[in-house]
Amino acid sequence: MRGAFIHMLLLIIVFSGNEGSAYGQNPPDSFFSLLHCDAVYIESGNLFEDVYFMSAGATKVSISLKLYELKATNDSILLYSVSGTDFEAGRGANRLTVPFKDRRVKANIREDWLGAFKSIERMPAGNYACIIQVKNTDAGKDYTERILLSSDTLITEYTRLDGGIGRILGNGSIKVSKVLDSKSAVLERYYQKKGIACSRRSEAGKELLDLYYGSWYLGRKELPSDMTTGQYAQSSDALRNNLDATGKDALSDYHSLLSRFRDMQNTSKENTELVADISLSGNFANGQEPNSGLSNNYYEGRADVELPLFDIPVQVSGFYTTQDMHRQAKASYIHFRYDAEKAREQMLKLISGFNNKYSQALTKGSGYDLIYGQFVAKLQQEKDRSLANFTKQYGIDENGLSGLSEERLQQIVTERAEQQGQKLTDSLKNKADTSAIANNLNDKKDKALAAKQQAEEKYEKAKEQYQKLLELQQKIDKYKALLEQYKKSNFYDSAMAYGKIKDLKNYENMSCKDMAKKAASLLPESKTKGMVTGLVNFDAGMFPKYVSDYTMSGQMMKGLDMSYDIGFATVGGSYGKMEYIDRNGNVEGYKAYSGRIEFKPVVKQTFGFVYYGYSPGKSLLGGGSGGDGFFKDVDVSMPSFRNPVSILSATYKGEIGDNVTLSGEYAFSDKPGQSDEAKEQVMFMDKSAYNFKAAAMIPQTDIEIESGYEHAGKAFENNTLPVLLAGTDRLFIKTKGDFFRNFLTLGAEYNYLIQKSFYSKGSNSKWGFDIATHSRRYPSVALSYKPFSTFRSFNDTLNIAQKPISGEVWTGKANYQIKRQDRAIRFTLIYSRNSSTDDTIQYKSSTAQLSTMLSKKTTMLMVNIGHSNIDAGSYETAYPIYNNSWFANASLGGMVGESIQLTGGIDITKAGPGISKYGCFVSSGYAFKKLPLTIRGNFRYSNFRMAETTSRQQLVSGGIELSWRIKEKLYTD
Amino acid sequence: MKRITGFIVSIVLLLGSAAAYAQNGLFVNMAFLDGIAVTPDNLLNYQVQSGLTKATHALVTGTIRYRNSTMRISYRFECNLQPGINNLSTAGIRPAMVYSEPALRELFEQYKVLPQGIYEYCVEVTPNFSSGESTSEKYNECVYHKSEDIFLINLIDPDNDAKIYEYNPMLSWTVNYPFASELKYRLRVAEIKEGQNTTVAINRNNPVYDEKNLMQMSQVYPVYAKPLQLNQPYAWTVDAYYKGILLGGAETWKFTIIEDSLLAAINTNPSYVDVQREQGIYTMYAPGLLKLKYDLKDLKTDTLQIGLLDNEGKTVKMNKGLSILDAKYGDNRFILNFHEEQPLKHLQQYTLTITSQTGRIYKISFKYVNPELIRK
Repeated sequence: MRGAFIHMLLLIIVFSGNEGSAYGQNPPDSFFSLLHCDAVYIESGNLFEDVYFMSAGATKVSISLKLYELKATNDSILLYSVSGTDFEAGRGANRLTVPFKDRRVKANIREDWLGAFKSIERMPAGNYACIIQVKNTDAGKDYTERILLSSDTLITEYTRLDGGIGRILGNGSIKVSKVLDSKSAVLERYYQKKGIACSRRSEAGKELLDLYYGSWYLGRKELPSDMTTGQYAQSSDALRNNLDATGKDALSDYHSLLSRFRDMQNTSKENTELVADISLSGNFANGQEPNSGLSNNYYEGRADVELPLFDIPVQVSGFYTTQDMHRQAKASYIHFRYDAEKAREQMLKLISGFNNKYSQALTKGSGYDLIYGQFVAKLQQEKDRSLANFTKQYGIDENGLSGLSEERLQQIVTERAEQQGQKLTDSLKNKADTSAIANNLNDKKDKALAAKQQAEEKYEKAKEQYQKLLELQQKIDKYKALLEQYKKSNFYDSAMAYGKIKDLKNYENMSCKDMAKKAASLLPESKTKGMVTGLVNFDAGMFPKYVSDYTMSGQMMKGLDMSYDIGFATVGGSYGKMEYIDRNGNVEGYKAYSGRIEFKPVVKQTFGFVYYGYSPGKSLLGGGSGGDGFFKDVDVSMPSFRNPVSILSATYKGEIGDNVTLSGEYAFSDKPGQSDEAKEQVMFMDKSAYNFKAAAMIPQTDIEIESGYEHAGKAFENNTLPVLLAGTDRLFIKTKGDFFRNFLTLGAEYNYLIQKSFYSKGSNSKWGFDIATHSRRYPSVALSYKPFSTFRSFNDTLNIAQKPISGEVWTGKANYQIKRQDRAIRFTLIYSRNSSTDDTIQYKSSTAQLSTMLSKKTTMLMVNIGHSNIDAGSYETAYPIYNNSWFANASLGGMVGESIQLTGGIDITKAGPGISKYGCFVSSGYAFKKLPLTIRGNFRYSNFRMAETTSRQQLVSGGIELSWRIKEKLYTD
Repeated sequence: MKRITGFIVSIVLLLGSAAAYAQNGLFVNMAFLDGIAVTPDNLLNYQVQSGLTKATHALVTGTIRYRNSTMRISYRFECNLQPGINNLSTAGIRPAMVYSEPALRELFEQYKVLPQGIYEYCVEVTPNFSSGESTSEKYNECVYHKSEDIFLINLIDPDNDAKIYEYNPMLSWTVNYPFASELKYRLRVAEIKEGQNTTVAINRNNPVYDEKNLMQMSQVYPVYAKPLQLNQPYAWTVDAYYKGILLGGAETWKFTIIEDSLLAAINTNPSYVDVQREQGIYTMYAPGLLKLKYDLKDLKTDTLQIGLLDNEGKTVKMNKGLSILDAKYGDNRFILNFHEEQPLKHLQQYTLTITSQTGRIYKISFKYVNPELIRK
């Protein structure tokens, strides 16, 4: 706010230093100042005009607007007269949007002009003057200003007609002129429908379309003759989002950035396109790989559609797989959602775009000031010189041009001529009296006549010079006025928009609504006030939902979830069915509902509250057709199971300074239906679960520390959570740092867990250390060591036979890359080792893999060799011959021609005596050139045996996938 | 007000039920076990209220059975029930238990827990029981409860959301329980489809690899399993079984096999950036060079001064060849070859400032990428 004020002050100081500033014109006691307006515009079929002014205080105002067309003949025609009362003005900079159709407003608009304006949604080509009067209703004071507006003959901006022209032209490789030749009748009909007459001609490589509406000349549209329609479509699209191409930044036709942004928003390409990705695949095989749950014979279909619905970005995605036919928990889903991220992204783009443009406009403004200021000064000098000559030549002393008019000039010159004529006549008379030479008389008469004629000629010349002087004066006035208007525009761009949004650095944490509020002046009325601006999310269908760790924590919800920004907080809720799927794939359906509120951050601290309730669904209890009949007498015998469980949760997120972030949650579960006797057995803390996390960056270093603690009470109940850690306490701390200019990364981690679910409590600890180097010149290496162990107390060990476990995991990686002009070779070596000791039984396994990858521009060769070894001790393994195995595979991939991608490879494994497994694969993809269609296929053959004594099996599998991308423009006009 | 109404209603119901006991004889009250996990210690924590006028010899049977499972625990005993309330937990009864499988007995009796899942615990009382027969009506009551995963497995490696290079990674975990040597593990790996998170993926998709009866705490993704695919995110988890009974498992973690860090995602031949239109919305990469387009409309010629700021806003000294560009009226194209003329830091953010003669300043933010470090 303070920044905005200083900025405004600076602007005022800068502008007030200039001669002829708008400030200089205002009476010092004026209640209003800096009156300004933008050109009239259309939104949703209604006319609006934005009026800007500074007000000394809050008051009610009435406004009158009169728009005149200025003809070259100095005539002017009144186009509309609008007067409105009961508008509210605040102290400081105001922007009043005057709606022409409103109960407070009376509007008389010239019908033919209105038709012309509406037909193209821009003012017909020409020069205009708008007389604005703002009246302080309370004090009765008023203030009037004349604003010069103009609409260029050449229509460079994107108009509502361009979509239609685009459709007629199409998007191909034929030249624009040819299409226009062949479709001239269609084009004519299109314009006729809008009431527009179009006259087309070709000139210097351009197709000129002169557009008329009745007697109004709307302007000229120019299309490049030799461009293909595809290229034109692209450039036309670019125009929709390009501010510089509107042509409204020249001084003579300057529109405020605010109005240009608003126009661009109205015609913007955003939200007008449907994008759909559809893919279908079929997979076939004669069997399954060992231990694979995938049947290998299935079909899948997926569709993702993004489209605007009522100007709201909406995404619909769906997935179907035939594998669902044989399982209880289905993977297929359909999800309909409001694309809040996209909306935010658009808003962000708008704001940062405006900020950039504003700084450019400011720079340009100083340029205008310089160029036009000098120009006006030059004109002024020229005028002063001409005026001095003029007055001297004709002996006029009329205090400049102000007191002079054409009549007065004629009068002066005639008087002078008459005086001269009189002098001649007088001298003639004298001479006639004193001389008798009569024949001289006629000569003198002739001379007198000649003098009169000369005087008349002189008058004509004087008139001409006078006209020139007047024109000079007009030019000076015009440019002065334009410059002032320009400054006013800039001033309001700053006061109404830039001042509010320039300091919005923390965009990430702002809601779409907050951004819209700040950037209200940039957005069309409908976008600022629309209900949808406040929508934070809207999901319907089947979707994973995360609200907090202990309520809805990523489970699949079938139903509805939405949240809305109410200003100081975001409120949301959900209703639907929540499915818990156990580790055996059994489904338990619960009816779930939740409400939540998250307050907006205060001093970077965010608090929220969540209520979440669930109860067993009908399908689980057996009331519905899906019931398995397990439960009986549900209404009588199991109140606490049947009744809803309520969970109340408080969430927290916060930051301290720039380096510390904190988060936490506390939740409490309650079973209202539980008997008092049972309730007494459970302590309050047993029903609670909480966690707290802190992360900090050590200032001036690249070292990060993160730690957290979590407690879940034994009786904390949320049967819908995917993993509930009831009865556990967990602690972790980890740190990671970069050293020596990112050459070295060091990390350490410690986890400690205590679990009290059992009769006795158990705990374990898990460590982790890792070290990595990053270098271009030398091989990069990474080593990680993770020991783990379980602990038992002496008492626990006495209670239950205990066998402590300890073990460790080592992982080492090294890679090196050699780069040449046209190729790169990469070597990667990986070694992993796991060993564990459970009492006296040891288990060890290790694997080493070396891969080499040679990549060229479009081809890639990869060879991978590995060895895995299991020292199972007394453990049994499912396929002992694979305990010690060598494996190798190689693949080669690349482009064949321009659009076929081909990859093939072989693999071989030696486990036990001889080759235990070998196979090959080939996959290919083809992207159609003219269709947005891609087809992919794959085939795999493998031959293997799982034990020395078993026979070999052969597996042949393959699949084919079709993906189709559809992009369709949805025109709004 | 609601509480008072509730209280009155419960009194009426209690009186009503008391009258019913008087008429019907017995009522099994399992309120103490309502919503509480059943253990050997609280197994008999219920009351039998007898409305009979004299003591009766009764048969009591209890059954715990699981939904979607054949697991079952049952017991039966005979006892004398006195008129009024009979607390069976204090009666010193030691019922004879029958388990559907021996592991369940060990789990319940030794470790005092019930396996994960929804179970029903029903108690049936048959009064006037003698010599194995009774003609009286049977009285029963059931409670239902859901037993959570009763212990946790901790996954160790690869870390959650790890990006790995190997196609046959070693998956490791550890456990936290008193009877490690008795456990067998089930390791599952499933594809994560678009629109799914790890939980949904592991629960709903058929696993690409599913191996049961593992006794060890690590497994190299075997060569005989369905080969893992590049860039396909996978979810993995481990479940633990005690002699065939599922006890619990780990959280679900995610890993993805990647080929290289940068790879072909960055085009080594970028398109021209329109200086006047670029608004810096997206992350732009400069793979060694930056191509600029400058459309000069206002002047016949223009001199563009180029400046460079690093991610902290400090000015980077520019080589002379790059610091000034001459533009002519119309479309101008420039290529700033940083790789050859002005080496910059790999993957660091920079801002290029372009100042025109008229004082207009354009800013372009980009991330520099050393073309040597990406695949061509």
